[in-house]
Amino acid sequence: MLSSPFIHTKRSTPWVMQQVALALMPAIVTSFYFYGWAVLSNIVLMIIACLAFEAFALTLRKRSLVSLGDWSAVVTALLLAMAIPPAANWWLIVVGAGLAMLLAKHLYGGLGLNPFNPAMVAYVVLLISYPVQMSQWIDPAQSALSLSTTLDIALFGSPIDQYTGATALDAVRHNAGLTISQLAEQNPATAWGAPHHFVSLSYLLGGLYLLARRIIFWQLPIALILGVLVAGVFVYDGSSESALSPAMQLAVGGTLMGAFFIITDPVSSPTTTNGRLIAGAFAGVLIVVIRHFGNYPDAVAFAVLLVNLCAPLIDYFTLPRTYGHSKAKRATDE
Amino acid sequence: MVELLALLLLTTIFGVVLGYANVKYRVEGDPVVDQIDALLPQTQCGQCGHPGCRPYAEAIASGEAINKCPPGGQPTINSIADLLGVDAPSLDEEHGEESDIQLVAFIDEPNCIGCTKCIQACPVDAILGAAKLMHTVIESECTGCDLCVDPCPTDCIEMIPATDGRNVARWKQPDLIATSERGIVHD
Amino acid sequence: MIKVHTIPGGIHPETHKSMSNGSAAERIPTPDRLWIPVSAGLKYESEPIVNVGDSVKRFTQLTQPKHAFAVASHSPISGTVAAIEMRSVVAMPERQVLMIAIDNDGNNESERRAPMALDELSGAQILDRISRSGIQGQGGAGFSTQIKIAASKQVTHLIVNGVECEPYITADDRLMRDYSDDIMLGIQCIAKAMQLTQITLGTEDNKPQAFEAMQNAAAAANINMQWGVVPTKYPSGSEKQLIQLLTGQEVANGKLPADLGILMLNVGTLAAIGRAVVHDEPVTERLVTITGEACERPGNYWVPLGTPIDALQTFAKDGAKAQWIQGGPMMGVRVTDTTAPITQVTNCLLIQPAVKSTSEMPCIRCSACYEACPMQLLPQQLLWHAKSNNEQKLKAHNLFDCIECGACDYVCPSDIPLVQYYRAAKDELRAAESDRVRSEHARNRFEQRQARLERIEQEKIAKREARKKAAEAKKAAKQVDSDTTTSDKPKAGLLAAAMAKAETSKAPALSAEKLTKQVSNLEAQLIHQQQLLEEAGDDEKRAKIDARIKNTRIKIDQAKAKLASIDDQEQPNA
Ligand code: SF4
Ligand code: SF4
Ligand code: SF4
Repeated sequence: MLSSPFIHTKRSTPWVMQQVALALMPAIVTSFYFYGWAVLSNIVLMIIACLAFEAFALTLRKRSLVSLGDWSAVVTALLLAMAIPPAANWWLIVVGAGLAMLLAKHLYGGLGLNPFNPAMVAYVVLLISYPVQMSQWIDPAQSALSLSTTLDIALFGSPIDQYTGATALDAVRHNAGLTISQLAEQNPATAWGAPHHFVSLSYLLGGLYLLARRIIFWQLPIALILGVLVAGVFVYDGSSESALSPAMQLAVGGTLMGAFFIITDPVSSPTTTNGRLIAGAFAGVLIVVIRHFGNYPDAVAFAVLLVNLCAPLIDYFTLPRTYGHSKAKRATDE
Repeated sequence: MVELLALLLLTTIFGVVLGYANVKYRVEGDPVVDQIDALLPQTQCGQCGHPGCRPYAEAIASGEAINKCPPGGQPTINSIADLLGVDAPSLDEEHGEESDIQLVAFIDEPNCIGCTKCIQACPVDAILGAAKLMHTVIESECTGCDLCVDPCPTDCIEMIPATDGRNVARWKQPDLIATSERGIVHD
Repeated sequence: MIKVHTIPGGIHPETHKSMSNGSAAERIPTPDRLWIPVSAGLKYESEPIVNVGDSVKRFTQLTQPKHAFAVASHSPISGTVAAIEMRSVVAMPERQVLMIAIDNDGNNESERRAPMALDELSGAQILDRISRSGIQGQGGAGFSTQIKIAASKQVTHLIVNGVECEPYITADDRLMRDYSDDIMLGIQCIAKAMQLTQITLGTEDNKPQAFEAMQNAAAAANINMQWGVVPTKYPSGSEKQLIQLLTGQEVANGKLPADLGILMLNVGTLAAIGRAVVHDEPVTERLVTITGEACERPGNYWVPLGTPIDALQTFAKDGAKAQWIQGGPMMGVRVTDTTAPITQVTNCLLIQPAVKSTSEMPCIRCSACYEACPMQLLPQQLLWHAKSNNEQKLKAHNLFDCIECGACDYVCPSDIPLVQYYRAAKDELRAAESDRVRSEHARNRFEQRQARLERIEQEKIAKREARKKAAEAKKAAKQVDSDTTTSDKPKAGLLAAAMAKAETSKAPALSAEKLTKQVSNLEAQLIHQQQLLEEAGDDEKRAKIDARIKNTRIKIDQAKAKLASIDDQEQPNA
């Protein structure tokens, strides 16, 4: 016998995924403006690779290829493509796609069952395995890359060095004795108005769209942003030992992308309202802590993975109080 | 030398602690048997080859296969396997099949001659009657063990599906990730 | 107007109410034959008090409750009892229930009623009239109203539920607009009988006309009421949710609204009470919203109880292909057999076009369901644990607090039939629980029996011992007395014979020969049963015979196994 209800929202999981992809468009367009074809090559190659690996995994697991159409692989591909340096070599992309789809997703049982965000798992493994390739960021202050240069670099391995420059976070990391304001004069990437600020801003825009559509809930991004700001205050004093200003922490690196697109990945994040607040704030603090005290240039991926790790525990302690019950239970109570 | 002494000391201490615990916290009876018995369906039918569920529980505790109880079926096997931390085998069909329908004995009363044979066979005293008087089965007490059917000299006992709520239709889980034919309208 | 509180969760599906609430209710032509379920509440039994061939009038009582929670049924028409047989109902498609068929004689005669003004009736009389009128909750759950009232002794506050939050349904809307007088009568009855101090109407803000009509009627009847208009949101009309909306209180876990001093009745129920008490008319018809995307003339109709859904086929645009749902789209039941009759819980018949099926996708833990759940459960976790049937976790996540409203299911982008998972899980846990109780009980009885047998055995031995001793003592005494008599010799002989007899009867009964015979007997029995199965007509018989066949098979297997083991013993090296 089939149970009620007999009406259903038009929203479907593919639709949700499409909306996320759509919300990434502003960031893609802005990045394209600054980095040129280098961004698009990443995206196109990554989508092809991810879909191929997804299809491979589904065939291996004897599942219907229909699930290819759920757009989840595309969203992972987009996020990973935007997270790694533009004009990345094709093999780096293939390895990344393989890691995301096979290691982080299908090994755990596919869509909905992965405890970690696939894009971030792939990003972290790539970062640890190929630190050089993963830190060659094109300097947007120079002109954007043309299609032919991009193809040369991405497909045929010509050197990228001449186009790259230090990112803001690199500049702070390798800061030798300058105060933050001196640093800003010397390296415009750490000053307000740098190109990546616009990219960050477009992530914010996309994020607001998702919020308005109620595809993501406000607790995670807001808590993360607050976490970054509050933790940022403690490590900022403007001196040569200082981190970037709290506001700048938000605008550089992957903070806003993380806040609206990564930590909000439903599969791997806590699901309760309070759990989301805790997880977001925790991730925000971790981002600042790892950036300031850690060894890697950016920290969003690490922070998110650590929070993913805690998600079941956070859910366990934040079960909502059910109607008519005097207090919330723990997930192991009878 | 010091190491040796330290080791000696440790072993002594632990030995004493364990010895004490053994005396102080000894459990009376055999709790595993009780736990297994609690999981068996208590149909008392003897299909497992033992005169009742408890003897079978004892047999399991001393190593007998856990898949011999048809009334309990797979769920019972699974929970015993869980308890003992072993893999759950499937039901040993030699002892009978698992049935979806819960049967109970029913005495065709006009044919009953009041021989009391069935009363003697019933392990849970679910049959009411006296010598030379008509007998009847108390449905709610009957475990459906079938033991009263054979002894009846007039073949007037048959097993019928229970009507006391044990066989009411239940909601089933939809097939996993299968096409659902709910025919829902997306609005 | 009172201040309305908020409830968590909830959804805003398209209401589709304007399809059917445009005009006042009409009456459908009375069908030729009605089918009245004997046990109106289905769960609790009543028995028929008419026989086939009896002629009945409108309002003639047809059934008598056997269980306290059961309600009586009355004939909606005049005619003759044509049959009493097992038929399908919508609510329990897997099972048939006993029904009474009434053939319409078209005379439309009624039994004499004894209408009385409310002032002349005492509280006890009111309650008595309610209890004999067979009123069930008209909102959809169908619980006996008399029992609901009887269980509400300490109640001071009546909440009139006119929310009707399910999409498509407008029966209560139309009832409040066109029959507000009846509703007010009902309110007065309850207020008088239960000495209420507070009466509140709860309705949604999408029914302004109904609200106005109710206000006017209350003013005309001089009833002092509070008015609560809640924002349109599903499931505001659910009992617990409406209490939360109107009073800000929650019905504590395991408690009833009565524990808060609240009795909630649906407007339809109140109208039925009004008619039953003042006009002395039992419930024999109800207002049904017939609507849907595949409905010919959507609207509200007075339908006699017992009207088979088949008699309403003209409402379906596309006859064969339409899908019928009894109740609303959120909590209704798919109609699988259109011979099933309209009952008091049929507030709506939804006729939907056949749509293409959808598939369930994996849960992406998007939390949409959690945001929608009015009970503040975690539906996605419940789903997870329901799939693995993890009893402890399901209870920790308060599975049994789920009101099966379907809000989570509605919003789930992966189209997961969440409610079905919960219903299955609940049934599973309930069955497991009752199995546990049952087997505990069986164990006790088994052990007691063992103990008793043991005791009897002991007593026998003790008696025997005592007798022996007595005999010996006697013997000794006799020996002393005189040495001549040897009277116990024959006795000893008897004893030995009896012992020998007992010995033989104890010997292993089943020789190979006997077992072979048993197998062939059983096989003959099996063939016979299979023949019976082929001849058997109805499903019920079949199920019985099936069960018997299964049993025989098991026995054959057992006998064969035993035989095999005997064979093994006899020729170990064969
Ligand atoms: S087979 Fe019968 S007697 Fe043996 S454990 Fe199962 S129910 Fe008890
Ligand atoms: S709405 Fe559906 S997909 Fe989303 S969390 Fe709930 S069950 Fe999972
Ligand atoms: S059906 Fe149950 S779990 Fe789902 S929203 Fe309603 S109350 Fe919550």
